[in-house]
Amino acid sequence: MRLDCGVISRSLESVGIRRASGSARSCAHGAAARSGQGEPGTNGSVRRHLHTAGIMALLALPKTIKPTVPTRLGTLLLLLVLLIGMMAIVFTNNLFYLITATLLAFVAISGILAELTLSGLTGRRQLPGRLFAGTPAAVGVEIRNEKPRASSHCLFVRECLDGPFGDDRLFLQVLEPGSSAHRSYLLTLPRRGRLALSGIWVSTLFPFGLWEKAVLLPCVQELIVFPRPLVPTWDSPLHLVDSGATETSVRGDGDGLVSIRDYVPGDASRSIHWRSSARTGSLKVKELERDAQSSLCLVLAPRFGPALETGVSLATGMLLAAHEAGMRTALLTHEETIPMGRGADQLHRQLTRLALYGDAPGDAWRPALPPVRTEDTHRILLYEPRTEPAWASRFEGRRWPVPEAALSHAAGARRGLLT
Amino acid sequence: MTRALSHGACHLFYVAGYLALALTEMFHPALMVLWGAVLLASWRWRHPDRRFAAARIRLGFLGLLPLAAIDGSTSMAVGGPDLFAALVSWGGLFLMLWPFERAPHGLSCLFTLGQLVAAGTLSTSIWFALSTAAFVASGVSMLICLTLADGRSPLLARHPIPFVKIVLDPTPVSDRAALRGPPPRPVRLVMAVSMAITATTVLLFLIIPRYGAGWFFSSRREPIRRAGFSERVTFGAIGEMQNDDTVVMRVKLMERTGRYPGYLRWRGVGLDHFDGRAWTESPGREWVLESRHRGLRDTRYVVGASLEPDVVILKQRVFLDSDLEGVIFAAPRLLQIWGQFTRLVRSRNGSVTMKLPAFTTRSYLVSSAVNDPDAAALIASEGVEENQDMDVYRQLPAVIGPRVRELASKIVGPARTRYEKAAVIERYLRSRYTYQVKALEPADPGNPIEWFLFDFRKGHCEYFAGAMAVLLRSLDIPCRVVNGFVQGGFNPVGDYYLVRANDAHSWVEVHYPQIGWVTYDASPDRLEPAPTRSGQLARTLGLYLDALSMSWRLHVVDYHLLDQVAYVRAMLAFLRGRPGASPDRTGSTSTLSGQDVPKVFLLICGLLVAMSMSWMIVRRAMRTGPLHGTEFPTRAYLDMLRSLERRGIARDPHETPREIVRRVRSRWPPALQAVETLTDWFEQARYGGRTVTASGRAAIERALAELRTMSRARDGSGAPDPAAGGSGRLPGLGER
Repeated sequence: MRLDCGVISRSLESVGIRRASGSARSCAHGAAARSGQGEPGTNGSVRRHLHTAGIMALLALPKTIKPTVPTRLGTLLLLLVLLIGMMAIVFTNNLFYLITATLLAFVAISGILAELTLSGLTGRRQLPGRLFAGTPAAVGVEIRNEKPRASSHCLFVRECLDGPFGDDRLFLQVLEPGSSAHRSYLLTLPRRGRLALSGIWVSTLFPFGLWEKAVLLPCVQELIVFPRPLVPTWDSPLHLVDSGATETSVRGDGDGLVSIRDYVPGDASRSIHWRSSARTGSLKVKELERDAQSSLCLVLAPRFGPALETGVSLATGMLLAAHEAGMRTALLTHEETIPMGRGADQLHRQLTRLALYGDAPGDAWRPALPPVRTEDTHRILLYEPRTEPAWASRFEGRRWPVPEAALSHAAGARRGLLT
Repeated sequence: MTRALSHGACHLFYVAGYLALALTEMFHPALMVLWGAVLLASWRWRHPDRRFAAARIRLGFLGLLPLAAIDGSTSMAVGGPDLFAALVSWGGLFLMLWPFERAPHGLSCLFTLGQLVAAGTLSTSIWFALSTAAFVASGVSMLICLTLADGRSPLLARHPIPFVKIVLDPTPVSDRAALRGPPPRPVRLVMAVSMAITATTVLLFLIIPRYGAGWFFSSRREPIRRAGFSERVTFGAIGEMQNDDTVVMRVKLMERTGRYPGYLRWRGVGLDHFDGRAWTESPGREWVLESRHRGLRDTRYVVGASLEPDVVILKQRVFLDSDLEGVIFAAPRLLQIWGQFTRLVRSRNGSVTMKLPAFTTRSYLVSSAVNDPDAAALIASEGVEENQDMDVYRQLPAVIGPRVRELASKIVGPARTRYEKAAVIERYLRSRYTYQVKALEPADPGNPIEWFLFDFRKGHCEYFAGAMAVLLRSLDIPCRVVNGFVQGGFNPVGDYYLVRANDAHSWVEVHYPQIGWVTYDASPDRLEPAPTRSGQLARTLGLYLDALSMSWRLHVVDYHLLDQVAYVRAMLAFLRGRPGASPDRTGSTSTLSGQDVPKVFLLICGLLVAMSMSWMIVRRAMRTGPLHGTEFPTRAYLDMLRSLERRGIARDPHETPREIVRRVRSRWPPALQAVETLTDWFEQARYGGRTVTASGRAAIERALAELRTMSRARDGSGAPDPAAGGSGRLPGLGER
């Protein structure tokens, strides 16, 4: 028997056995076998390797089998196969064996056709820009049938988080060869943190509805789930950061009108107030107020206890509200300080920090607060009363204990981080 | 697929169950009419497109109750399979007329399977194959319809309630049109899947290991022997059977093909005592045959041995078809028996009977020494003294008068030896008396033999055999009467003898010292009417049908573990290059021999071809059906985009169809005409709602084929010009 060492190595590797450095001996055996001058035990060694490879292949076989669960009808069929098989043995009636064989053929063909239906499918997912824990978000999914001829029928689509046989999110009656289906569904992620979506589960009942067979279409996506934004019903600090609530006389390029004055050379022509100019007969220009420059400095005290998730959710809600109000924001935590800034990138950084915020001890931490430039700068300290840090009493700004009542608002959010 | 189609498919499945019961021929036609009426009523009254006919269904349900009570009480008295059949048939009817709107389809399916099982217990005829085929086809159609039409039928549901959370549908218009395409072709799909299941069933049936525990056989009664083959046979029992043409058994000769050159008889029971009106088997010593197990073979029973040097051994596999239980039938001079028996007993008269029923099947293998001893040997044995008590075989009743002896003496005349006397009497009866099947009541019921010999001179085989035995015994020659069957008709199609009840026969065995019992048959040959041309055709057709039935019996009903072993051994022998070597012919009842191996290969190849064909058809049938209206140009346009994509001209999401055409004009001019045609049709269908005509369809197909050919060309002819630019992106979400 002549065997190629490379072939054996490939066959071993295919079942998970890599050739280690000490396996040079087996290669030498293979070379000897090629030359036909092997020692007497050479072929035996090769056979042992093949034997091992065969066993490993058998052990690896269950991993290649797709997850399958029987339906009610499938369970009934299995019980009937057992019953009629027993009857065939007891009564020694070959016609019972024939019925048993027929029912088993249903099972076998059902498996083959389900395999055909699920083969050649690819999946793709489109996630929204921001995903908040506990908040439904629309996720787009594309399922494509790459098979050149056979169509796929009766497909149930699920997220990897749902498991292969959880509540299905989409149902596709038929997917023709070469075509794709675009659908969307609402995805609600339970916890904040880093999350890896491994793929999309697609299952089918085709052709007989005896089994539901599933396949995981690879579609790996890593994402950061932001904390669930919490808008408390109790005395909220958000009224303080509502830009519409405060007025300013500082001139600028905002929208609010401050005054109308005479035109002086150098004024931009776009600032001419034509109606007043027409009425008075001389050029008048409008003076606008400066855009709201109020800012929010949010400090998240360390050592949050049970109210950690509530505090993080409150912080998220405040930052989102401040962002929508156009305020400049800063976030100070014992893990990272994000200086004052504004815009989507700033918000993203802050939400990411909050998403990954842990409960590490930060007893020695003192927040380095930015200087107060105007009266519009608000400082808010979020802390848990039971673990209030010593410096909190000297905090220059609003101290905001996370109340027990707010815990119920974050009941869905579990403590701790994902991954 | 609609719910109406699922409804119809479910009822088709129920029909298959009742068809299985009807084909057993065990039910009264009136009952079958009732089944049909209920099936029709259920289909109409529960139709999803009609209003639920509650009042009618309730009335029908109540109307079934007294009928079921009457039939059920009868079946309960019979018990066993009949009771089970009655249960599943009436249960199915009640479920079909279930007086509530929601029909218990799952339970009905269970009862349908029960009906098939009941049919399997009631009958083993070849019609069961038809029932199984109907069950497969209707079951496949029902399940496929349920799955495709109603993927969340309660029958198939794992989750109780549909839970689809579609919030928006950003599917591109073109893809959406394709998705909404017609359903797959259910008829072709059902046919192909049914073919695949049938082929798989055959394969699985052949390889599932057979094991028969027979746990309920030990409690069964002792077999009741049929009249004519019991321990006491009155005149007329065999004659009555001669008016019955039902098939009682089939005999296949092993290790030889074609008709046996000699005339064969299938010996049943031997009778030694005559009381003037009936032949009986006098009580005497019986031998329980010792069973010998040798590995994976049938148990072997040795009945006797032949010491003749040039003995011709004939092996026969016997398939009992009717109620011929209790007696082993074989060619005379039985040597060995192979089979699964509980206990076999041999009497002094050479009858081998079953004291308990056969363990597994109603077939067995026997070997007999069939060559008759030559006349010289028989004459030479005259001088040897009898080695056993032969007085019981010389017994005559008192009613036999001296005129019988006188007649015997007159017939034999100068003949001196036993051989000559027996031959003369046999010849005398055959030539001077007339064979008549129709049995007549003898004028003297107490002495029918003398009535036959001296008065009526006509009769059937019982009279001839009885008369010969009485004549021989009156000459002090030991003999006995034997009841069995003549060889029957030979079926050249199936290569076996078909024995009917009217082949029942009686003959005589005469004992010769040191040689044993030799067969004599005094009955003249029966005159059979010559068949007409149409009769010949019907006969030929009947031969084929019976061969099919025999094949069913051989390969399905009586298929067992030894056949499986023989198949495997024959295959191994064939693969080792010794196809002529039979795997084990001496100790197995399997009919497989070395010559049959090609047939086995042919069968397996046929199965594989059937499975491959059905697989191909399934794949074709899983495509969607023909597109109509505006869908066909849309599909064709999508195909066109894929072809362009393969050649590097991928559609950008913002591109309009006309912009793609412009790009094709600059980058791939040869494809321009086809692309323009397809785009025109797409725009007209999609935006103008124009329905495609037959000529338009042909034009689209032509353009698409042309585009595909150019797209797949390997020589680069017509390849797009890369310098002309263009993104390589795929459209929308489909980009890679």
